[in-house]
Amino acid sequence: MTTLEEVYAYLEGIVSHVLFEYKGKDCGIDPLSRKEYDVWYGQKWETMTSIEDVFHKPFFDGKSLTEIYPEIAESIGW
Amino acid sequence: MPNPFKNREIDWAVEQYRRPEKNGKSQTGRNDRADAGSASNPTKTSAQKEQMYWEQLDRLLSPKFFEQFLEKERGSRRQYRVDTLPPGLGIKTQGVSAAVDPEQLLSPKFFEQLLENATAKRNQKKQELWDYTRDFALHGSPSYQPQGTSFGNGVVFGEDLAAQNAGLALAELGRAFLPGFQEKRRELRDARKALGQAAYAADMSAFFQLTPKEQNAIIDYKTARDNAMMLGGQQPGLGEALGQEVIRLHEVFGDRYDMKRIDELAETWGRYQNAQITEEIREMGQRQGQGDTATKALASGASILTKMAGDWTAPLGHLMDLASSTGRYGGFDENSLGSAFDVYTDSVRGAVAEDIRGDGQNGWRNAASYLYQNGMSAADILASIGLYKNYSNIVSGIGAFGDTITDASAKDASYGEALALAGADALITAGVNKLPFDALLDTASGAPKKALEIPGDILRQIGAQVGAGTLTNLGNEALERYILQEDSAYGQEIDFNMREGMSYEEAKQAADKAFWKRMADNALNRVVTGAFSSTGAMAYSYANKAYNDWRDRAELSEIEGQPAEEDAELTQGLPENDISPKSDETLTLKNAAGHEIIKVEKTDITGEPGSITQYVARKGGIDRNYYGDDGRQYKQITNNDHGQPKKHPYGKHGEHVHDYIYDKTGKLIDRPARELTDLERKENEDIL
Repeated sequence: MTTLEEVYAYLEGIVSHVLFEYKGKDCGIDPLSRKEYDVWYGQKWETMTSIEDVFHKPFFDGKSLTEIYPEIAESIGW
Repeated sequence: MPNPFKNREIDWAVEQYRRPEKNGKSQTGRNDRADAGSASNPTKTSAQKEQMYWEQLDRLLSPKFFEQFLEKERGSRRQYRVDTLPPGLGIKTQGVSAAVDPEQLLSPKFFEQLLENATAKRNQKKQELWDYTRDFALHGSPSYQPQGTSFGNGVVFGEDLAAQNAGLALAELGRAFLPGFQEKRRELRDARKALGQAAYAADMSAFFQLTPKEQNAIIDYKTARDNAMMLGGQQPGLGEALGQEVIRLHEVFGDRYDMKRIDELAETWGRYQNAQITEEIREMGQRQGQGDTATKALASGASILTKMAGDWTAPLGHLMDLASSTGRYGGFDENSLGSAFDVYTDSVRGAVAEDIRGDGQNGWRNAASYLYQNGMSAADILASIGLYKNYSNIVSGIGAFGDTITDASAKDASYGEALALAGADALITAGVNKLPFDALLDTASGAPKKALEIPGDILRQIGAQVGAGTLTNLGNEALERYILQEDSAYGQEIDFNMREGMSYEEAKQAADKAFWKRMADNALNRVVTGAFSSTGAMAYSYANKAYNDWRDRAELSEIEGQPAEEDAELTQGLPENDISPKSDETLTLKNAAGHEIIKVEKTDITGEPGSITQYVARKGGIDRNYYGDDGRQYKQITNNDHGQPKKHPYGKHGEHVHDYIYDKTGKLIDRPARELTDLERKENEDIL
């Protein structure tokens, strides 16, 4: 199973987008640069300016990516 | 380019035009009371009405308007009144007071009727115009009198024709929209172009029906205006001269036209001039397209550019600006400089490239042909910097361009070397004068994270086209200076220059110039020097790439040229049905161009050199990843919008491309998104 650390390294390296599902909604993170990450949860959308925000901001139904990771790990696609 | 009427001197002149002096007499000697009455009259003048009409039409022709309108109207089921349509659409609104259902109004049938009606009226007007023109040619004076109008000076005729054609254009637009906006985008553009053409034709009609005195007043005004715009800050008295011309316009036209209409007619006249010059260029190109290859290449580079610079920079750059500011002719660009370049390309460059390419059997000759075209693109770019953008200081760079080529050629430089040298000079001149480095940094200060994009934006503004690698290097330098300030290479360069005895200003200017020289070197390295160098590795690289591109295109054209059955067989079921095991872990596919694709379970930043991989998401989206000869990913094509259509306004289904940009240490720093090119679309049509 993909680990949180692997996802972090992947996004920090801005390799490609990461897609997953949380609470029945399609989610994704698309790194455009090291200071511009498009993050979406269903139709909710935000452009975050740091990798730290991506992992720690309570964006997904009030929870951060780090918090929900155990629930989404299986659905990670990249 | 600033609006000339924001100039203080010219404002004064316009004031004289619009307001009579307090002594009871205007500058034109007209009766003050009559003018005052006219100014305070709430009734709109014909020019104001026309302006309102165009504004309404612009709004109506906006795709966004159509989308919003249709959505809103369908949602509310509100009744829509026919008689609220803008005037001049080619339909009879008089007596129509009953509201109609929006679905009915926007039905295809409605637009068909509108189209039919407008077409009939336009044909009638065309016939009238033809009769009038013939009459004028035969008898030297117009005898045409449109029925039901007070035709006296030709303007009514022109406006009338414009209105009818606008109706036709609108009908075409509506017909294009209803079956599906995305699919009919081309038709929409054509409709916009038709509108621009209609306006231009009507304005031409209006202009040539003016009296010689009226025409001369407009031409003289245009000349004074162009001079003021080009040299207003450098030569005293030009603003005043323009003011005098504005006053003369008032004397000639009275209240008949406002300044907007005058500017439109001046633009019309300029475009007419442009057409004449284009024809001259075409003839020149055809003359120079005769002879041996070397002669054609040299001739097509220097003398035509010099001709363009000499003839076009003064009047036409302004007209382009004016056209974009008035929006009068919309997408109509038949007489634009861009199309003139096409004329030039068709008549000269294409012939030379064909000569080099030969029968197309020799791959290296094909590559050489590509190189030639690449180099000539640089010449186009440099010329367009001056011609399109109309910066006088850049124009001077272009003027020097031809001179430098001549000088270098006289010193036995090869044509490629002369072109590279001249190009570098022109870019430096353009860059230093137009874009002082401080401006770059001011922008960077406002949005530091955007600093990487700034050099690219600036280069694009001046018309240059450079690759991602160049921009990355430039972006790094900009960022470095922003972050490091005095400790940056730029700052150190200033220090060094000051130690050499320069003042701070001189030192900064020299550092700016050095920066732009590096920028020019980088840019031209790709488009000029690299293309023409006979010895460098860059040339080899370009030739190799050219050859591969040519080969890909040839393969692509083979696919396109095959019978439908074979074509279907080739692409049918891709990617699912054409999977053939390559190893235990890897499956290979082929894209529409026949290029092998490796199926992967995860996108990686490195891959097999020169390969393409494909990742299929759980819900069906497909990514294709492109790797360069060094094994680094340089591009990703995604065939969907990730379920976020508003955030991916690309293509038909949000399909888009990410370019991968690395810094000089090889670190990936940017993945900007963009539309697919036509070639990319073709190559990947099996997943789009």
